[in-house]
Amino acid sequence: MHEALRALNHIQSAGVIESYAIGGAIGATYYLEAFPTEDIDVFVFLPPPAPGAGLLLSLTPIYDALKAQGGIVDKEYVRFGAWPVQILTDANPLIAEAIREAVPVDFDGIPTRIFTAEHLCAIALQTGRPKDYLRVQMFLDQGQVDRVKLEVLAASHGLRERLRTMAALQSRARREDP
Amino acid sequence: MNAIDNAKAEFNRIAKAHLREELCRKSWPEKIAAVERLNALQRTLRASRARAPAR
Repeated sequence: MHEALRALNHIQSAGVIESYAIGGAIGATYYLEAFPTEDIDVFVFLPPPAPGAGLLLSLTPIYDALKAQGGIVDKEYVRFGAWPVQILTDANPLIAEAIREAVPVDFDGIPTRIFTAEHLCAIALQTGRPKDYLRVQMFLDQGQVDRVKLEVLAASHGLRERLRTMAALQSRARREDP
Repeated sequence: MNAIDNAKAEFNRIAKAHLREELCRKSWPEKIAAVERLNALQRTLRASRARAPAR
């Protein structure tokens, strides 16, 4: 984890990426109890394209820069020690907002940024796989998310219905297993 | 459920909640170290399941 964060900070200061933030399960472990997860999801803003460059986005410069920092490319990941890192872009407005509003944190003296708890939940609702709903439930159960902020965020990204379904499932589960 | 069962269930609920609170309070690097241990354990379990003869 340390090597991966140092490499990401290096490629950010070298201008290969504009900025980055950690999301996914590793981001969630900042707020929640530890649970097993296999990779680090890193969301990046790419620098603006050079004048005359095409519109096609390429992650190759990022992979090359991470390789130069000791990473080993393994399918869609760049591995640092035991940790595969997956590079993802600001694919939609919610993710772009999550990167912009990410919180600066410290990992054993290494500065980095992670998504807010509300953005992690909203992105999980948007992704919508069973394991993502389960994660939102963990945030709610462990009281690690501001419910009001999440409702506002969900409403502004068209996720109000999904949050409502999630809350209904949660209260049903509570009734069945108090 | 009788009163003793109720008390046990309540005790377990409080113990779980306390443990969860403790786990949430750990620092992020401590939690990541725990994730690394959990991942290693999962890999070992998968490998031993793969080695086990089919029943």
